[in-house]
Amino acid sequence: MKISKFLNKIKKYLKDKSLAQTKQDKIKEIIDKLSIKKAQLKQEIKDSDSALKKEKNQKEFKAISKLLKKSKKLILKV
Amino acid sequence: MSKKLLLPFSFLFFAYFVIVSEDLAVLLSGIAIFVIGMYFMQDGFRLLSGGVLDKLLQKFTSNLFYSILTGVISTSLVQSSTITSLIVISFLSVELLTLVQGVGVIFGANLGSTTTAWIISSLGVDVKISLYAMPLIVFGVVLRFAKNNAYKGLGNVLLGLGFIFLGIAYMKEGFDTLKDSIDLAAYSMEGVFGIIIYIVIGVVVTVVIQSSAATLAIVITALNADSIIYINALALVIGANLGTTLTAILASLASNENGKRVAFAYFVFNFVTGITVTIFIYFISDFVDIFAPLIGIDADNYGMKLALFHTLFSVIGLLILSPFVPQIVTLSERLIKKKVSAHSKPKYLLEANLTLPEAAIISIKKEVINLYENCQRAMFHAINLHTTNLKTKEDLEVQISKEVTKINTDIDEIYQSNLKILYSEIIQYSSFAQENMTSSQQQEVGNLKRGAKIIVEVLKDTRDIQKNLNYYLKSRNDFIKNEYNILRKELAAILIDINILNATEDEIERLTQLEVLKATIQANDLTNTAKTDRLIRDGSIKATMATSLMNDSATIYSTQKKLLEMATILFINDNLIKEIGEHNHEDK
Repeated sequence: MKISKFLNKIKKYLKDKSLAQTKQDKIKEIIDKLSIKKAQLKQEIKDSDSALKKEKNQKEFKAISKLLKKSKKLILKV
Repeated sequence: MSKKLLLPFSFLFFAYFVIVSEDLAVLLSGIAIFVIGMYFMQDGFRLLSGGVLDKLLQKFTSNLFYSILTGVISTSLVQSSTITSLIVISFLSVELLTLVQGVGVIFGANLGSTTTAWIISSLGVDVKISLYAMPLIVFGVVLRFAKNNAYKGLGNVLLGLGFIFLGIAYMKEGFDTLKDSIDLAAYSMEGVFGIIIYIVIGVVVTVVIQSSAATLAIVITALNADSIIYINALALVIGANLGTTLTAILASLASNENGKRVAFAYFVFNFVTGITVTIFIYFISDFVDIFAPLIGIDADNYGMKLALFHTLFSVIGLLILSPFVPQIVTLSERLIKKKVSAHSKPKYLLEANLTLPEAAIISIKKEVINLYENCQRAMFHAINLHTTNLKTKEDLEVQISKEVTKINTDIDEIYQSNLKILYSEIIQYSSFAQENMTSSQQQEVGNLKRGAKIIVEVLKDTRDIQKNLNYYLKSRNDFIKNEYNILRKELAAILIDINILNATEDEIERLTQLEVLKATIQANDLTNTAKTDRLIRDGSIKATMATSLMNDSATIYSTQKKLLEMATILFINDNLIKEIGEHNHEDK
């Protein structure tokens, strides 16, 4: 009886760990995508001729930077 | 349509008789003055009762007997079954009364309204009542200028009585002189045919002058001037009762289904009673002759006998129909169904999906989006923007740059008649669906319910700013006009941005756009606040304008934040991406 309880606890621990691992992996994936997008935007801002387009890209750049910060904070919490 | 036709028809009807005969003109003036008198008297009693009627109706309608009794008392107090029925209809719409209680009150109101005939006949058509009319009108006018509602009410009652007396005096004069030129008594008709003809005349006259009390006053004075015979007068009373139901039906056309059901019950009451009383008219007439002396009415006092007949009419109706109120209510509900507009019907809440959690979640989500789309249309209209050709910010610029044309949008009405039903269906369906769900699924549905709640909140926020917006967009002060145009543009822009965001395929891109929008509205709010301060300092806008602007600007900012929260719930599907969006990175 005690052994089965112990085994259940191990199973639950492993399950939670694997879920956390999956979540971490997913966040990492999102961070990667955001980073690529950030780099693209940085380049576009540099190359941009139109002020309007530049302003739009800058706004997006700021937003992505914020999201990246949020993602990195969240990954530590998982 | 029929209401629209009634006015020109009445106008032509009266114009013809006024032109044809001077005597008829006097008679018709009497009727008109009498109707005005009734109006003042009813309004006066309403002011004097100061909410007593509402309390009576609310408290003493626990069973059918009390409902009827309350209807009798309250209508006698205000001398108007119309006022009683209007309060009943408004109470029904907020479910302060059940339909059975409401119908009971209306039945009672029918009896209560017979007191008018007693007042007219007892105050007399024999004495020269016009002598009393003038002082009453003078004192009534003086009291009407009082600030206190009770005095004002008393003033209106006196004024009303004065006009009623004056009206009766003119009617008497009209009938007396008319007698010399036309012998109305020659048109008297005995027998069944005569009764039917005079019932029809009673109906027509009541529908045209929109008041059964005025018809009764005409009948009593005509009877007193020997212009009609007693049995025809009784038929006219039956006609007046039937006519007043037609007036009620016409009035109910513009009301909701409960108003129509009450009018239907009122019609059934008077129609059934009318037929019964017509069949037994000679028997009832004999009964009146026997009963009248027992309560001190002289055998030749036809006015009071007519009032007694009128009261008996309602008592007979109550005796016959009171036991069948529940059946009448059921019939009215079956015949008059609640109109549900296409916008308020759920499109996706399929019952078959209730036991399938994932399918149910999709159904709920789609329905909340449907609710949002309906709400969004109402919001655009409320800020005077047409939704056709309004897909992009460029389209918005085009519309904003044009002169504002007000779009009549009653948000309360839209909410009550359309969106509230849809919202309620979503909440009900979600609650049932949650029964078969895991905790995470329940949480997801909980979020969708929150999304629906936000949608309703933003609609109400828009209603709150709508009045000021319409007011200041027409202002001669260009500064305030411009500021309100900016607020209008900012609200519309966020709605368009959410639509664009919804059309974006990539979830991360959606999240990025949401983040951009959050930063934009925050920056706009700061700019707006600073600009308002500057406008006050420059003296460009008055302090009263500034406070309105500050309040409305805050409402717009809060609405925008709510809209973004709703967009996150509805348009970001991946829970982890949603979590990143909602995560506060400044958490230490």
